[in-house]
Amino acid sequence: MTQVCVNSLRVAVPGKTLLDDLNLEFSPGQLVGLIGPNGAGKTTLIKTLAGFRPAGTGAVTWNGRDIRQWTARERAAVCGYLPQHYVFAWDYNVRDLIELGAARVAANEHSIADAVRAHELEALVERRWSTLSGGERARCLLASVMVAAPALLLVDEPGASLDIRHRIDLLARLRATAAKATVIVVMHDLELAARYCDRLVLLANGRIAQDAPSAEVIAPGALDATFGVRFQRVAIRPGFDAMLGIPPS
Amino acid sequence: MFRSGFILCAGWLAAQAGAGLAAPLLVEDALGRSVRLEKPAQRIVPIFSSNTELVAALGLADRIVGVEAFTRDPPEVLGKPLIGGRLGFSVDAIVRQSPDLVVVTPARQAMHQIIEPMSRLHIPVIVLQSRSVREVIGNVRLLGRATGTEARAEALAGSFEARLQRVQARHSQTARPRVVLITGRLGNGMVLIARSDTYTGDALRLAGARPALEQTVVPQVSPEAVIAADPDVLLFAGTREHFAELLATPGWSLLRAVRAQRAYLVSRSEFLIPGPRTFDGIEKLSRLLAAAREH
Amino acid sequence: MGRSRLLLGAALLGSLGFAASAGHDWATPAAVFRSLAGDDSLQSQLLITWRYPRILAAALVGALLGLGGAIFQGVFRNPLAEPYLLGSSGGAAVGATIALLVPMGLPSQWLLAGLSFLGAWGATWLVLLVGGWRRGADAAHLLLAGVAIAAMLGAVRSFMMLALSDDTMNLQAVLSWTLGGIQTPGWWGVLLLGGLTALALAAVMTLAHGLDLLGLGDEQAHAFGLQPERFVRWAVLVASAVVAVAVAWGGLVAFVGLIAPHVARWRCGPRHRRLLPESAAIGAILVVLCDGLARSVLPPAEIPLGLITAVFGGPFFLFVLARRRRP
Repeated sequence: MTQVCVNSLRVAVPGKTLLDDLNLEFSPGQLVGLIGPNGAGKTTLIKTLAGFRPAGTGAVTWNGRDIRQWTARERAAVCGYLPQHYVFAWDYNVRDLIELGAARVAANEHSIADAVRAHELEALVERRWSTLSGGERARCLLASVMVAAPALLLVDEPGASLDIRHRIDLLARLRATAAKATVIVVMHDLELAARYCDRLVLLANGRIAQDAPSAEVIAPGALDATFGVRFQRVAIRPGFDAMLGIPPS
Repeated sequence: MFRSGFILCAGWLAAQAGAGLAAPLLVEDALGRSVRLEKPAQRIVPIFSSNTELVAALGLADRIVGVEAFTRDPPEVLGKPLIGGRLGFSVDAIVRQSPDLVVVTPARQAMHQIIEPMSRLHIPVIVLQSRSVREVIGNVRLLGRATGTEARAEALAGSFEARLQRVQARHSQTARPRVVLITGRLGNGMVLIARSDTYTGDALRLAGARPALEQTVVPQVSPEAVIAADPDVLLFAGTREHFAELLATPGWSLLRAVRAQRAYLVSRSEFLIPGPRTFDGIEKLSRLLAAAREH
Repeated sequence: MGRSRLLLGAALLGSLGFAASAGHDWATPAAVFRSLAGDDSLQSQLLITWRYPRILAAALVGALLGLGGAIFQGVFRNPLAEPYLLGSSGGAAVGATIALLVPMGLPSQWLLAGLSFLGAWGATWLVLLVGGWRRGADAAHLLLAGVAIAAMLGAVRSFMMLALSDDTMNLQAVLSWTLGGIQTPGWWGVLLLGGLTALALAAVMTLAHGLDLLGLGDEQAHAFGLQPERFVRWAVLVASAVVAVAVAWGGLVAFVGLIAPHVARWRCGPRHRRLLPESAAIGAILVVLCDGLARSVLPPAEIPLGLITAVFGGPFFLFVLARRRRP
């Protein structure tokens, strides 16, 4: 997959327009962050990109072909989707989940073993979902999505329920994946978005407020206006992992 | 004037005496209830075919003023007003006929729907039971007393008893074949058989048969049990088609009765209605069993 | 894992052996062997023509109920889902009532089986149509439609029973069918049932992957390549057909379709490739044992099979409750 294109996309429900005339293009090699205030349309956009929501007017195309013409199987083979919340009806174990993910491309035992290794799940393979911690669950789900080596990876709030260390770990993996695939993530945490994403798309009220490399978007301008908040910009010095804002006394 | 007054008084006294001759009857029914009738019943509502047939057998078909929908015999009662059927009994319809006696059997909720309302309306109800053939004969005498036709009832009862004696005499010296009488099939494959503690079982015994299955707690029986009992004679109270269908189900062809052609159809009205036709049935069956013994 | 399968197989054979002996007349193992060796006595012939087809039919009916129940639990993502959720019991009862009360020219055993099958499966079609056909089937809509249709069918059946019964075929005769029970089929009937069961197993195994995916949630299932609403519609039709076949041969047997998949999931986990056959095996064992009990507890009568399974169903749920309460 080389190109994901969004052309004049409009998604509306009775009484409200969720996305209004969006035009975007995504290519492999960059980690793209979707940021914006609540209700801006980030989750709607990512779900439409994944094919869960039908486009109102306009189109989403993968490699030039409208995704409405792809069957669910074809989409699953090239696209991976990591949701914000996930609740499973049954107590699968780690191995089950990776196998289910691998079935998208009829992967063999080899790929499954590789995925287990790549996400450090060797010790957890037979463990049941209910016995895993939040961080282990995130890694396991990522492994089941990545085992099929999707060319397009869509992530909604990576690590939303994880502690800071696991969140950073997850973003590092996503960044590594973005080297070869197209990776689009929805992020609330602006600081991590700025640090890990190459490009940021700032959404507001269903429209694109800004679509540029992170450094530009982070600079004073549309960001403050869109969020209605005054940001103090401070560089993280080498040797430190994350930022802690200290309120004025 | 004194004389006419005296004649009037004498007439009045005579009328009283006459009325006193038709004094209130006290009849004890099958439940031990003491039923009081002001005079012999003239307007009778017999509920269920058995009671209707008994009343008609006493020659009182013209006194019947209401029947229920399932009663089809004797022909004189067809066309009489209906007082109930499949969906129960209508107290209104009964009362509309102004009966002075209602005869009922404790089956199909008839008792609960009728005794209380009738007692509130002061209409006498006689409950009859038919737990044995003897009791059926007793019912004839009971109805005779309630209707003022004791002589006719005694003659009828006597004739039934005489017929039974003749039948007994015929088969007293011979061996009794083991018999199963199937009276119906349930939707789940079970069969209903005549139990020894009912008048049907009693009738079989009087006709010279011996029950092939021992006393059962419930009337529905697994076909396997009937087949394993392997009776000498198999009887079916129903239609020929239903009998053929039953015999086509697995296992029935193993019965010696079926293989030796000793599987017979009997009339439902003769074995399942405890009335005068029961005695016809006993006689017919006794002849059938005698013929079967010849094989 | 192989040992667990072996244990299950042994349990199935053991239960068949028990059922072959059980009945109003307990047959010793020696008698069973004699009958299989070609003995000519009435007892042996009775075993072969009546009891053996019966226990095989019981095993097949149990297997079908286990399969149907497992699919329903997978589709509704709920371990309390059972095969009669979408009106099949109501439809089957209407079909059986018609077969028992309306005189038609056809042999009654096939008529009863055929009409109860059509009633059971037909009710599910009705529920799918009412619950949303074109948009695909949403589980919640289906459940609501199922409740409505079941209520209406119950009323239709009661009305028919009142209007059509007469003094030869009364209410008791019809009600006895609804309590469930296997009517001994001939050997042709057993063969037909066996063929249908094999077909059902094959059809059901194709649903295994989709059921696994459904358990991940609608969205994740979609992301992994399933179209949940279309799949649910298809799975419900297959499961209902499977259950309808079971009902045609065995009447309305409660709880087996609920307990068997539940127990199977405890033993082998939630993946349906293993769960479905195990559920079938456990269902078979349950029905064979319960049918054996039904035939032997109150001789010479039979207790309706549905009653026996209901008697065990209650305590089973108390047991499940106790397990959940433990930390």
